Amino acid sequence: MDEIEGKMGPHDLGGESGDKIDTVDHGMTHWEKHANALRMTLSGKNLITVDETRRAAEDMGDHYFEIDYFRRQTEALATVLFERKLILQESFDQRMEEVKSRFRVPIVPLSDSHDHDGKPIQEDESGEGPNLHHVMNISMQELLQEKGLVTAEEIRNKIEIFDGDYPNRGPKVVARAWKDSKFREALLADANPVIEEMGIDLEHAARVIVVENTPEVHNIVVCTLCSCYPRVLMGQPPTWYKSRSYRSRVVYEPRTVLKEFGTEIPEGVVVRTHDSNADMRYMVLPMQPDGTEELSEEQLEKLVSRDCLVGVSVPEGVK
Amino acid sequence: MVFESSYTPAPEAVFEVGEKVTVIESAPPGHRRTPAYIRGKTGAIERVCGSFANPEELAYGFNGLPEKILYRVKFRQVDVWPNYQGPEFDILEMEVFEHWLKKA
Repeated sequence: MDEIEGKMGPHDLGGESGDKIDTVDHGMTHWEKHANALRMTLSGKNLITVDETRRAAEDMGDHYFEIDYFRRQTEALATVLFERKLILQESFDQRMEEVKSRFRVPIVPLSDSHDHDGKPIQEDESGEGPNLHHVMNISMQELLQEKGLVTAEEIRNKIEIFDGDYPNRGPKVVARAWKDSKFREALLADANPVIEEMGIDLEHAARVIVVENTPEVHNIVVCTLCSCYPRVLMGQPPTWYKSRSYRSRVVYEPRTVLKEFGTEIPEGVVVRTHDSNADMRYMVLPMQPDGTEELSEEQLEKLVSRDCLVGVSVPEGVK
Repeated sequence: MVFESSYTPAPEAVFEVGEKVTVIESAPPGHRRTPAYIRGKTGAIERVCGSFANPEELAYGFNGLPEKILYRVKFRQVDVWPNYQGPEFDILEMEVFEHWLKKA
């Protein structure tokens, strides 16, 4: 690729050359879900803004890519909480030591025959204590709880809604749009009110733009600067969406990236790439697969994968 | 069904839909939401998104007021990347705040 001049920092990735994309979503461990829920709860309550945590991450310089996404988020959150004096460095350091000491328990060796019905043993069962960044998040949460700024229940609920409800919403909206052309038109014109009319709470945070795939146009969404994503409609973004290579490459070679996801776009079709970088959040309305006209909304929902809603894939039957 | 628009009104918007605009080519320090690769490139206003708190202020703990007008700008990929490998009708769209745009 051509050298981009005037990059703002390590996060300003659009146009960089990058590796082949690992298209597998590696999911999230418990500590990552907790880190995510803490940050989202605090920004939802306007105790901090996501803009501040973004800026704190960008200010890390080379350290930005030395640590992974959720470790970066954790350190950025701590920086912002110190800046806002919601947490004092001294109490935080003290609390970190206390939390670590709670986990200093004897490790019971497991016998070789110990297994969980053949499933791999989870990280939490390894006998080791939580990692440093999980200790940071626990400490931040406890100090904020003691100030009455947040409750354990709020964090728990946030973890649950990210796992349970958010990811199911996008497919529901798409199935409704496939069934009801009036709904579809209203959705494409101005998505928020019609989605909320379905009983989906967008939490005042997200302005949703739904972009429609047609026989002439294919849409794909990326955020080159961070990981902007309609979380309240689609849950936590997959691992690849936050990866350096996806964020660098989609904007200049969307068709090559699509091929890596197994999606071939015919030559005459326009590829419309959306760099989601400010206050709008994008969801793709895929084309309804042929031969599914008789299916119910509930059946149609099941055809809509998360990848289709980002635009890296299309529902089975129309490939 | 009659719905109220979810977009915040922006009657004072300087640019209108379809108007050609160029992203300001400048590299000031600080938190900005205009990626380096789009600076200096010319496209057309796709829609007026409304007025939003200014992220360049929010990022430092201020309230982001006054709000800034946000647009979606549509670029031809071949205008963004001189070596773009795909067809010349491919499109790139992104949001740009008014103070980052000038009339093309």
